[in-house]
Amino acid sequence: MLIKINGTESEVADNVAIQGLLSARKLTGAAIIVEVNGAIIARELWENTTLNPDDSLEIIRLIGGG
Amino acid sequence: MEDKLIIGGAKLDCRLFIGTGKFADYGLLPQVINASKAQVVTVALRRVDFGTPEENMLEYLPKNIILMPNTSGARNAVEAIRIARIAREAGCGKWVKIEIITDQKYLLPDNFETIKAIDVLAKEGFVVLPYMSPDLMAARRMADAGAAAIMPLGAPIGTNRGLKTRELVEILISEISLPIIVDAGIGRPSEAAEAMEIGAAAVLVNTAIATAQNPVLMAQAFGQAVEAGRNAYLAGTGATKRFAEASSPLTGFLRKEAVP
Repeated sequence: MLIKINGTESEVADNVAIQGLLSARKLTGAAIIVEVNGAIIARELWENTTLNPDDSLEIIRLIGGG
Repeated sequence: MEDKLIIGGAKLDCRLFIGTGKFADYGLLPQVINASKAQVVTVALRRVDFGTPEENMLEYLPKNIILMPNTSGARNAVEAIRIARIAREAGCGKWVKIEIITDQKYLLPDNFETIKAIDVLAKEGFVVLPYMSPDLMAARRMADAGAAAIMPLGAPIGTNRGLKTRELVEILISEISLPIIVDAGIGRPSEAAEAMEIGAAAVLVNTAIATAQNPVLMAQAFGQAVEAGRNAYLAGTGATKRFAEASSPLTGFLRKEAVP
């Protein structure tokens, strides 16, 4: 199915869960925040939150900054 | 004599805040923090870049450090508010540095949008420290909107030009009862000391430390300079004069003739 990840359209497996998507991209999620359609999804829900077609996913992390 | 900086319920001994951007290696961060004794550091939020290896910068920061996520990237209040809420959800605590910029040449902040963001975020319980262009009326509005401190720039971000806005910052220090924290443009420890001598509550330094040839030693120097400047302010500097005034009496000179 087609979803948006960080603003870019991406093809992902149907009914993929957030955790599955992160693992596929080799992201362990340690310092990562996930937003789906503008709502932040708590880490404990990643395993069981499946994505839908046209969902907009933002994967955000903390970096150095002034 | 106790001289702690009290912001958002925290009682700080160190008046040097450090920005964590531009370091060659996150491994320098714990050494820099240790050398400077800084208790507050800024961090930023960005989309994950799938190309670069994942690194958790929080692993490099001491457990008891106060994190101040900035809203860099925000072009208006709405974007800044969103970033602040994301940072809070990420476990950064309730401090936030509001940074709203559309000027790409000088990275000068948008005071108007900043006031709007403070208004919303302060009501949500954030400890809001706005990065701003030193203007007294804007600072007053920011204070009224619920800011915990005011952070005027010394010079544009990353320029290392020093306290170019000195006189405007002096006005803020004199007229606003919140802590005034000079943020951006400080290039040398002497400039940090200068800001503290005129009465700033603290300074925030990033580029000058991160891009020094020896960032750890520079962090130590900045820590010492901020302490020296603060002590000078508390000690009360003597007056400047136009003409010389000898340091010993002008009598009893060791001369051959019997003069007074």
